[in-house]
Amino acid sequence: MLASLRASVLSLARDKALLVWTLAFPIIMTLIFMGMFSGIQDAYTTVGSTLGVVRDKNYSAAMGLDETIQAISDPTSSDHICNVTYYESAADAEAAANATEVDAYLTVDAEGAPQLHVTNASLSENGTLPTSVLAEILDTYQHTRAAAEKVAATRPELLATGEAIGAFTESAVQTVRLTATKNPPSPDARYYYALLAMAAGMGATAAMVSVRRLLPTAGPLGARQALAAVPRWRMLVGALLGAWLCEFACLLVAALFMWGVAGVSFGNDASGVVVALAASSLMACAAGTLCGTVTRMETSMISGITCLLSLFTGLYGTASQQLADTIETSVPALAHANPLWQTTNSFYALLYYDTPDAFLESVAALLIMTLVFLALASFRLRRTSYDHL
Amino acid sequence: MASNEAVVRIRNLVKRYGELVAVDHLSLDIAPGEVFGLLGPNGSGKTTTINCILQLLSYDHGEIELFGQPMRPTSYQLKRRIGVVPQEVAVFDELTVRENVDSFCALYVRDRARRRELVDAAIDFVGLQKFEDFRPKKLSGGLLRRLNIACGIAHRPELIIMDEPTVAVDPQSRESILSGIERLNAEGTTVIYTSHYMEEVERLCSRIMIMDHGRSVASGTADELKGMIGTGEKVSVEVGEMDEATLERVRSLPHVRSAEVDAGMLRVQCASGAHNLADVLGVLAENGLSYGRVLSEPPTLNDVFLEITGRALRDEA
Ligand SMILES: Nc1ncnc2c1ncn2[C@@H]1O[C@H](COP(=O)(O)OP(=O)(O)OP(=O)(O)O)[C@@H](O)[C@H]1O
Ligand SMILES: [Mg+2]
Repeated sequence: MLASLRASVLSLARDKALLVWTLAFPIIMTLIFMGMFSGIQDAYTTVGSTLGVVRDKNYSAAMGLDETIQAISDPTSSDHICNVTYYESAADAEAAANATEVDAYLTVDAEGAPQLHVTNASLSENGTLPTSVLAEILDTYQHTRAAAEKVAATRPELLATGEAIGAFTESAVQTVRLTATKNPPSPDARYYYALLAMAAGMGATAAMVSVRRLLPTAGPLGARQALAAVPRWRMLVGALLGAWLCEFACLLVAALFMWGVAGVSFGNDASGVVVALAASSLMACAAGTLCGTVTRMETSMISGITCLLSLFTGLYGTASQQLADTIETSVPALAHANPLWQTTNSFYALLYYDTPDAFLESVAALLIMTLVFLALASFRLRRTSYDHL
Repeated sequence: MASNEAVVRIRNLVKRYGELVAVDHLSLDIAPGEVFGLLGPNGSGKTTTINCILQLLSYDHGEIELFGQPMRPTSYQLKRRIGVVPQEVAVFDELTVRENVDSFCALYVRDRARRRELVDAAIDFVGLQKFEDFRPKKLSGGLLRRLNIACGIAHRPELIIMDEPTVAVDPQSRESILSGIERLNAEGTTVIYTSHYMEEVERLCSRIMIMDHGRSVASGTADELKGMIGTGEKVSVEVGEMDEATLERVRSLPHVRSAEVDAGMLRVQCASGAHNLADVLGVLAENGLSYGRVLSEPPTLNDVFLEITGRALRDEA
């Protein structure tokens, strides 16, 4: 087993095709993405987004709204979403918006319902305000307010202390943070994660090459190794582990490069990233093993399949991201059956969710896929057992 | 291992590829310490027989025993005692010469230190010391063949099976390979050797089997085989000029199969007989012909081979 592991590691480490696809490819693409995304990043950091707030009597009357706005505009807070400029009247705010001093502004109507105004001017200039997040905050605020009003109607003494209001607004912000993002939203992370997933998929060729070399059906080298004084399954396991080690190492380096050079955020749990990389490369190697048992399968087919599956991880730009999102919401089972989607999702889960559930689900899905691929591969190997030249 | 026990014992081996019978009721025994030559035209079933012995192929019928035990695909203890040099070069392209030999050796020998010795010895054996760090792509065809041999013998097997190991190897390396095989054999290794080079087989092999159409058509020592055929010696006499009548007289001698004059040399092909040379020279003397150099060659293995398997081209496979 060690012998075939060593042979597989040695030869894969020198196989340029493999290095190109699982190491050079993601690194080069990272450099390209860095160039493409530098505009977006700059817009985020230098312009910042500013929300205009019309502080009239409707605003002051809206219970808890001011607390919410202050919470999301406090630059020292982790809930900081945007800066806020206050205006006396809606007309002033609109003028400021048209002059693109603010990206959007907020008014409160007579019923106390907040409304977000996004001007065309600010949209076309630089649509940098995370309006969807704001909208969600306001939505949550409305719900909270409705709940608070119910409390006010039934147990007014609770509101008198002001403590209750604090609790309500806090929970509003908390909810937003949970439903929206743990870390600041990063529009380009999605590309990088999908890129890593694609590199992992390409790595399946490593296992395919290593495993195929052991099959007598695939050529004289395989026949020769079938003469070993070692059971074949042990050699196959060795080759598989060797391919896995190589691919895992390549992906790790690629991810480190993304993090260190391109500044891609992977959340705060480094060990989680390593686990995700290990699981996705193991899955790819299992898939490669299965492909290796199909004599007619060529490496170009693995590349083709990987490119196709990457379409559904949103690697190819906004159109493919919309397609991926549509499939995910309408036919989730289909999206979840895509191993590259699970890979991408495991990184996502690490970045965005406080709880490990989603991450563990994706890793578990990857491991289950691994087992399925390996079971199919061993079934095929058993059937093509010994008469094979 | 009991010394009288056959290293290889095959009984009634039959292997079919669809309609084609590649090996047809073949039986053979190879004793320890033999160098057994397997000869036959292209497509006669030599490689197929070897692959059956090695259990790389399943076969339709027959029994194969190695070292007195039935050979199975999972007979790892038996596989450990066998070394194979396949007809096609089969090495790892990405590994260096040394790593290649080591990788194949590691399929049989676990201990690293022991393996280092064995690998050194195998590389010495084929004379690839200077090329240890070369990748197979950078080796010439002959060097590659030598690497192919080193990979098969590094683990010091008791039985070595070589399928045309010296194809495309230059005379110097061939000589070193042949003397290497003789050395291995002197140390007690049993060898199965196939080749289309008759001189190699004649030099190395203690026993020879000629196969055709998957069957054994003749077997024995080289001398026994030569005795089996009707062909006798080839007599060449330097005669200068020679008239047609005398030539006819030579042709009518009892054991002469053919006679012709070519560039001043009378060449006579005889059937086996007691005094062919004297008879030919007698006819020349009777007709007053003086002659120069006289050459008499006994039949070669090549003659045996051609006579037994026929001279027609083998391309029906
Ligand atoms: N995989 C196969 N499928 C069908 N027929 C085969 C196969 N392998 C070999 N044969 C046939 O079996 C016969 C014996 O082939 P084999 O390779 O054993 O010959 P050989 O004696 O080794 O010839 P050579 O001297 O050319 O190496 C040939 O007629 C060949 O065409
Ligand atoms: Mg052959």
